[in-house]
Amino acid sequence: MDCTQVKNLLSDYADGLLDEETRAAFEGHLSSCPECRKEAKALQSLIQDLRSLPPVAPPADFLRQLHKRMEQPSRFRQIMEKLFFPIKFKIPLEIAGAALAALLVFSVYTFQQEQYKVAGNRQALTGEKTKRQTATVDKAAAPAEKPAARSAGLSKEERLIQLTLVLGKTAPVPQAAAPATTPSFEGKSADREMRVPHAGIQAAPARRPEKAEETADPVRKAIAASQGRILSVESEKQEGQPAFILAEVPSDKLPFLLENLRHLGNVDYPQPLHSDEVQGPVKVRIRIVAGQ
Amino acid sequence: MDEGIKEPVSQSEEDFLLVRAFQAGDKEAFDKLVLKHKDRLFSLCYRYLSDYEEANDSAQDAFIKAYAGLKRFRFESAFSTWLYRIAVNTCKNKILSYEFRHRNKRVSLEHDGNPDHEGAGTEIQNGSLSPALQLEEKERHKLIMRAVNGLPPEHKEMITLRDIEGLSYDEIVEVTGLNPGTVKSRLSRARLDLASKLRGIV
Repeated sequence: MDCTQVKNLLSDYADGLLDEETRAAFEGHLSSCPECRKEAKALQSLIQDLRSLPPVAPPADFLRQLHKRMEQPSRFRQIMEKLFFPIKFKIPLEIAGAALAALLVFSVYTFQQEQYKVAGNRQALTGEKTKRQTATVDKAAAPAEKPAARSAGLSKEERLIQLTLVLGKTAPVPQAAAPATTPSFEGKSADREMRVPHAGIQAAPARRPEKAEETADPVRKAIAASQGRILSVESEKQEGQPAFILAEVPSDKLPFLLENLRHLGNVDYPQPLHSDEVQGPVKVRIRIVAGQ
Repeated sequence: MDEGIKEPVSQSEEDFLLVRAFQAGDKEAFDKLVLKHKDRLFSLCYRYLSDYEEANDSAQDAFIKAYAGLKRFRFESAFSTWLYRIAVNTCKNKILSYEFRHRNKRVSLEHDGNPDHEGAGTEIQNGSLSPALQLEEKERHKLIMRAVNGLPPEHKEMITLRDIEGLSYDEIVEVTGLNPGTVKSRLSRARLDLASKLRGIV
């Protein structure tokens, strides 16, 4: 047995774990090797020292403390365990700090984004104002605009009211269209006309109008009476086709115009009119249809 | 009722009777078990943690866990071994916990270079020695414990269980869950490691 083997068996020898044959060989080596003998003695001494280390006494009231803990916090722990079982989180301070920092950065970033948005909106608004001002200046510079072009280029803010006037007996009536070629909308208008007391469809005169303008004359008068002005007149090319008048009237005179038109015939419009909603002049496109 | 239960091996008859009494509904039997084992259990915890308050906390935790599991205890090992296993696992978990590591780091910084905090518990003094010899012995113990605490955890565990607390190899196998060969070789290396650290010092 050499020194390395002896060194590896020192611990087992100290605990008396070597069998008789190995122990004899071990002790035989020790008797002839002062170095290994010294090592063995040192280890025996160390083990002795470790075994002689005095125990550390618990607190004198250990049992009382234990009772206290078993009675009070254990119930709380049980409740907590029931609530969160089996997941238990222990968040290290570093992670909590990192999460907090991330939250801070995110909130600052979001806040700045909001700020940019607000600034951007303000800029956009300012830009729009400038554009509007420029447009006004352009208009002032070139005020002479054709009425037709103006009617075609209605802005979004401007309101266009489309009316259908089915002429009655008090107005000059254009040539009645043949029933087969009359559009269905006109038919509906005629049905409504039947229910209007002052409408005289049955007594419609047979006189033919010479021109569409003639047909529109009472309408022109009604527009003029309402302090309105005619912007354009679209005459029909063929007989029996409706005529169109595009006019502009002050919004407060709109009810008056409607009243005047009702004297001429039945006024039909798809949407209910609320003159209160409209500010300034209103464009009215009147479709004039001959009554039956 | 007791069919299939192994006969208690190498455990004191007193523990066996107390556990039986507890399982039969005698709550005071548990107090007797605590009083009987608290010193060794506390000492074991103290060796693992090197902190008096933490050792107290862990020893109490171990008893609380034992109380919760004692109804189901079937004497497959000695009560004391079962109790030590609970305590060792509790201490290991404590060592791994963030709070303990953080506190340990702080304490070691506060006491940097001052060996007085090692073995700072109330050691039971040997009254047969003169005050001068007592002081010398105390210093010697401090040096030894300092060297033990400086060992790698697996070596410190072997020295603590076998040489300081005096557990048998079989008990160490049961407490740690290691196989006997590993316990033997690990203990051998741990002892040689410690001896080399203390050479020329004690």
